Amino acid sequence: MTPLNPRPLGRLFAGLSLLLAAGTALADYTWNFPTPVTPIARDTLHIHNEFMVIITVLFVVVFSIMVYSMIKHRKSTGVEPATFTGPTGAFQWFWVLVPFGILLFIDFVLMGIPAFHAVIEMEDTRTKADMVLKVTGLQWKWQYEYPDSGIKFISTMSTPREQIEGKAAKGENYLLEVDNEVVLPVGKKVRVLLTSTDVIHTWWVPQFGVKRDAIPGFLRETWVRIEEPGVYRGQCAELCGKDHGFMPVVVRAVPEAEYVAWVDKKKTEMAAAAAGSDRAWTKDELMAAGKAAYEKNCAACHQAEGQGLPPAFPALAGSKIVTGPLLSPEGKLIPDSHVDRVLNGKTGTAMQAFKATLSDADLAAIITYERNAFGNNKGDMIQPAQIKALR
Amino acid sequence: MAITKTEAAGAQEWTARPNCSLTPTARRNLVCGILAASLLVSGGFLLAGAWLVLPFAGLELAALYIALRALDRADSSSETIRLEGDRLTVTTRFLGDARQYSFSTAWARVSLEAGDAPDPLICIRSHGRSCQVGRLMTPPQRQQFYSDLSRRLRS
Amino acid sequence: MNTATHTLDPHAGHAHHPTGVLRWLTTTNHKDIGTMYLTFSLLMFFLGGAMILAVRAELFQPGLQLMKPEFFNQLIGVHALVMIFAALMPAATGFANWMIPLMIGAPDMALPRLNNWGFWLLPPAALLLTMPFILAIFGIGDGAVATGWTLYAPLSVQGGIGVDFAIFSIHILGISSIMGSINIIATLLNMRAPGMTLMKMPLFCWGWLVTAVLLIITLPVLAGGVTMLLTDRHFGTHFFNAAGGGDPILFQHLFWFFGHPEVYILLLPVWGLMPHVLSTFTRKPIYGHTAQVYGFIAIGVLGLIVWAHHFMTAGLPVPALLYFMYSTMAISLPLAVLFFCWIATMWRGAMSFETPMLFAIGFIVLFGIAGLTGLVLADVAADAQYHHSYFVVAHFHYALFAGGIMGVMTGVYYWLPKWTGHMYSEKLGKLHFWLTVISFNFTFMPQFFLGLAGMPRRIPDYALQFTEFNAISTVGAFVLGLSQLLFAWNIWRCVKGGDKATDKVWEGSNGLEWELSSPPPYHSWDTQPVIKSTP
Repeated sequence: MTPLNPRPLGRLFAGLSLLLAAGTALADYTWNFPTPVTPIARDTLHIHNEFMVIITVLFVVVFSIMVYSMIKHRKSTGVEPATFTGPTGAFQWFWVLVPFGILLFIDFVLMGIPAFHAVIEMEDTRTKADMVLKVTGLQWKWQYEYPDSGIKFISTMSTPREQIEGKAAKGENYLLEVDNEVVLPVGKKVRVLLTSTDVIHTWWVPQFGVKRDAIPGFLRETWVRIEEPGVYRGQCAELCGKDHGFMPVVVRAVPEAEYVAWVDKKKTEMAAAAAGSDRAWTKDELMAAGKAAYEKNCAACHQAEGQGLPPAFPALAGSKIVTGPLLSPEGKLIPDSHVDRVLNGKTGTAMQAFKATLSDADLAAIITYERNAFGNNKGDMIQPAQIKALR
Repeated sequence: MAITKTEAAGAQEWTARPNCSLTPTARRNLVCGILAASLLVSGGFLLAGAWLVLPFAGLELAALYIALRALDRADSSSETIRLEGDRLTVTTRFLGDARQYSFSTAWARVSLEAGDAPDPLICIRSHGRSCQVGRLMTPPQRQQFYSDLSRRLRS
Repeated sequence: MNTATHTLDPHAGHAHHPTGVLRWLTTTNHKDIGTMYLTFSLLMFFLGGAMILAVRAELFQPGLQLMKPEFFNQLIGVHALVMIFAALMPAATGFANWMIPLMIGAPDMALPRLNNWGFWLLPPAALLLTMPFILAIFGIGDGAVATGWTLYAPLSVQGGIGVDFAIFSIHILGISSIMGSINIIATLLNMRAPGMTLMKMPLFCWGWLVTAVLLIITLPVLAGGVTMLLTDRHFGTHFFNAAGGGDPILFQHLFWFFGHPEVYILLLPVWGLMPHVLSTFTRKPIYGHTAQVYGFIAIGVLGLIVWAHHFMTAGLPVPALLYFMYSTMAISLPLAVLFFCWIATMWRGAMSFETPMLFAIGFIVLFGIAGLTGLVLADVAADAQYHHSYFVVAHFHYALFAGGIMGVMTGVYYWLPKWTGHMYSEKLGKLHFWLTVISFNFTFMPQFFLGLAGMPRRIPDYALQFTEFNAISTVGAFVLGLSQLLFAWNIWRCVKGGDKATDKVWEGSNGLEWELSSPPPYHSWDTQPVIKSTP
């Protein structure tokens, strides 16, 4: 039985503690949280750094004692093993209890008190809130709503499929870019309300120090006060199905004036879209708009060519439902028909009720497109005004 | 599997019984403790709307209880072989089923016979009556007891 | 009246048992069943490992190269279920079957037939869990459970047949665990040799006693939870559906009420084993036997009341957050008792560093990292940043690989000579140790930094800033995986032959199990020993 040279072990421990220390001491953010831009994130980073120092010290102290023992009390040095089995006498009990006193102090005073204040601050979403942002998680995109101004839009990942499949060079913000960024004013306390329409999602922007679950049927809340203008990126953090890895959160923080201008611009766009549902569209217009909207909202599951991913995501090409009748002769919704599915979804599956999130024009365009693409040559079409009537 | 041998004037007695370190009080405390914890947990979940926890907890506690009862019945088992004068008395208790056999030492024949158990048991016969002992003895104990008993019967 | 106890030779062999396949199917012998548990566990360890190596290969570079996200999701969930329920738990149960009767001087487990059933439920359960992969190849269903091992509703309500298979598998595994637990409780309480009071019972047995009680208290909750999931999926109930008056978070409460104690269920047997190994290789008695017993019990009790720290971002009310934060921090106290006792056992001993001792020391250090990062994770504010990120992944692999699997390896090397009667190759064992420890840290240390930098867990593809650490982690994982072949090879060689092991095996070994021959006879402790001295 060969005694082991303690040096490699010692080196290993030194290396480990260095690695741990690297996480705390260096201000290099590859090794730590990204630069904080909200009071909560700053608090969290501060607490994290403090805790890392504490546990590194604990680690080093405890295992130095062990390593010392491993070097000193080896059989090969000819030591006689001691025979003690537990603390005896007041003196030894004192030395046994001291570490626990220290640990109690660390747990509930050194760590516990700052943690307490941080929790209270983090959960105080209501005091002096300047505005509200409602976030809804959907498989696999985010919907944002500004109740103050009535703005509402969907934000989907914009990284092209080719980059993911390695057919094109990956861009700088690979997987962390969206078509519609959330715009928030700098310096305002934004109360963020979260919910979901299907499964649990988690809204997370690391630089905000904020992570909160979006739970179907319930409202959760958190808050942010962004201190620096900039673009902040995050991701869904709760496994929510197939494209969980592809639903980024992108927040653009801008000065107040710029935010007001953005609100006005968005309102105009929305008015234009609302007007779209009242006029009559040509089939070509619907097909063109339908292709774009399909690729954004439907192609993740039903695939670009409508072939689907059976059995979870059925094919649309040649589908009985898609090629079935459009509406009843009286112009009413037929249960379980194509229009019903798109508008109201199918419970218990990933097919969601799209009438909650898409505009009349988009819905009409998507339905028309699906009935006339992928070889489904139905030849019929539905007008946005008809969708409006069905709501 | 403890076998004890008692010798009094003119009589010998061997008693084999399983060793059990669980006293009835300790068993009751154990079952009550787990029952209390389990009821607390499943009652809590019942209040939260998850009533399906309760039947599973019930099933499981029933299984625990049955298993411990099975132990209990195994524990009350014993085999006593008493040799006094010219009488050989065998008392067996298995799972609450007590039987007694009596033989004359002059006529009793002892043999090792393979029964339904994997190891041979000790068979005592006389005048067409027979009984088997040794279920509570380990194979070596049985071997020892067998040679012991046959020596004494022969002498 | 004078009473004499016969002490008969326990070494006399009486092996009347069927041979071949029938022997293994019908055996009620604790050693046979222990061997089957351990073999099954090793096979499943490689199966779960192969799954995660495929995952790590996909994560080597950004972009999707090897698999679709759906399949990725299936692999991560089944990896966890296989490793936890089919590799780690059976390994601990295998140890229990082999060692508990030897340690307490009992001829077998208290309920041998139950023991046989308990084992033979495992292979069908493992089959059920993995079968959807094969069915999917033939076009039936869409593959295995793709919700992660946590099976969170409503994602699992929406999932395919893989979820149903997983639910049934979990039920069967649960029944098997309950049978094992009842048997272990009955054995430990009723079959101890005369003179072995509860407080004199070896610590490994104590660890298992607490584990078995935890299993009995928590398993009905998991069974109830997954059954409610099943009825939600197929029978129109709305336990977890808000539209029907249910609550998705209720599932998380149910799952983690089982899931958190499950961590201790996996670790307590290993914690119980450590002092034996340390005492053997320091040639010094265990320090603080009683303190460790109370430590186990305290951890078991605390483990039952801290479950919600697994979903602190789900929007719990502030008082609940504070309660779960402080109660979780309190676990560090009994855990510190264990660390204190382990190090005090080493202090002023005469140490030598054979493979089991190396693994024990590796366990203590790396598990120390798991414990310390766990302390930080308890803090609600910082947890908002760590949660659902790779920081958590790294943390629980330090707990379950370094704490669980390396603990099991400690036990295997420690007891293998006793089981087989041969010494394993010390050289191969040490090589295995160093490769494991180094590659383990290469695999999981970068994951702490990935989590800090903001990489969520369970994503098949990632942003470019995470590339380097993921590449390091993948290389580490492959070295880690391949070095385990050395482990299997070493065991195989040892089973087949090698230097004869003495009965005592180790110079400093101490306890009833070392008084038997190596390997012990098929039927051991037929006549119970009588305990006089303290262990």
